[in-house]
Amino acid sequence: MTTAQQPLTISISQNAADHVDAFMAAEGKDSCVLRVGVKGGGCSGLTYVLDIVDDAREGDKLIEQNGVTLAIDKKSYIFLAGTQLDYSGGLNGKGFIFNNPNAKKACGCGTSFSV
Amino acid sequence: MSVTTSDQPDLLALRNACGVVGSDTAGRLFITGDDALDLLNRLTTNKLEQLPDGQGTTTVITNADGRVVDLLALAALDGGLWCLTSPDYAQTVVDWLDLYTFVEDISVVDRTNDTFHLTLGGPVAPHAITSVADISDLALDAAARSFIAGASVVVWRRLAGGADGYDIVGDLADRDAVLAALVAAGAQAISQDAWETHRVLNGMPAMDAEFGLFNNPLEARLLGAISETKGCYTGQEVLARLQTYNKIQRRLMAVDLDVLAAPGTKLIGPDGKNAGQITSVAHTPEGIKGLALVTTRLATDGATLTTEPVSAGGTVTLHEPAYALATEPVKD
Repeated sequence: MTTAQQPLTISISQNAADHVDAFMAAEGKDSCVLRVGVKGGGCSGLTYVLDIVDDAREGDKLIEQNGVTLAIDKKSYIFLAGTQLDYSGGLNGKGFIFNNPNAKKACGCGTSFSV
Repeated sequence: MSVTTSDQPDLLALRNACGVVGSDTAGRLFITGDDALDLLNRLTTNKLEQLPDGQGTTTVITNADGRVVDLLALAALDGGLWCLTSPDYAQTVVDWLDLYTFVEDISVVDRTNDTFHLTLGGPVAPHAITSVADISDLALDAAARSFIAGASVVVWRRLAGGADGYDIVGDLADRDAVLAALVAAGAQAISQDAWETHRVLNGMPAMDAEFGLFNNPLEARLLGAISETKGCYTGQEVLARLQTYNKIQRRLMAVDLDVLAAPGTKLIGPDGKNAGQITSVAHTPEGIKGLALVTTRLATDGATLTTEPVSAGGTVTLHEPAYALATEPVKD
């Protein structure tokens, strides 16, 4: 029996990428990057960060997929490796979703996690 | 956790006059950076969105399970934050803050080994400190930089050891001169045992005795360091649930013992079941006093429990701890 390995990268679904494009267009921007990261805090210890910024920072890991450039700082990458960024428009809540295989526990509102 | 034998003249100095004790084993950090307060606000229990220059406060680092990583005393001064940790917990706090620092502008410098830390307590302490330092109007929880015996020091008025007192922090090379000046001003140099007895009598919980990774800050009654309105911080969801549904399992109480019992001794309730355990013990002129974490439903003022084994056990009478009464928010 073989076990599928989680890819050690960060991906963005086509649906999420379409919504990022829409947000960029709404802000009148056409060459931005999507900063994806983690910061300390939130009920479970680590909180996801998502931001549309003009430029990546020095040392950021850059990933281009589905027409969007993701910028991730090195330390956040450790906690996000294997994560797929998706977008949900369902009745249970609308917004970006981090499908993070490293997250062992999440708080009730789903914005923070622990590993 | 140790049974302490108080040096009575030292204890009397703390009660009736002024005593000074070395608190050098406490960690001393100096934290700077534009994001320092915001990060601490996200990682600890008290509301720290703003801390005006010269203002101090207490806050608790809790982990995601709501357990205590450490109790911190913070004061905004010198363009940053002075942070006192529990004895021997400086590195733990440094490592914790580093773990949760991603892109924030924050610098944490461990000053424990190049600074000294003296604590002044007792009713005459305000007179002693003002006779050697220009801090006549220092309010409780306020800190200021001043000079003692020509040495530049931080003077910080707070509930050190659970009662009104002054923490004095300065460069290590100035320790002897500052201590001598305080003694010349009427402070009696007191033993660590006497200070420990002072802490127990004041009901001040301590790391690894009344709180730690084995429990949450609500059990230790550190409510004065917990904001119920600030929103999310690490461990907040657990603590909010415990409070909302009255699920706090144990409660810190002061205890009178009629026989000597070591910290760690189990308490037995009237129903013969486990009712908690003794966490600190001190000999005092009025008898054997201590602190205990007691099963919440039995933790009432005046209640009595028995120490284990019941066949040879002593009687333990519970009281409300003074520090909790002084710092817990008043409920309507």
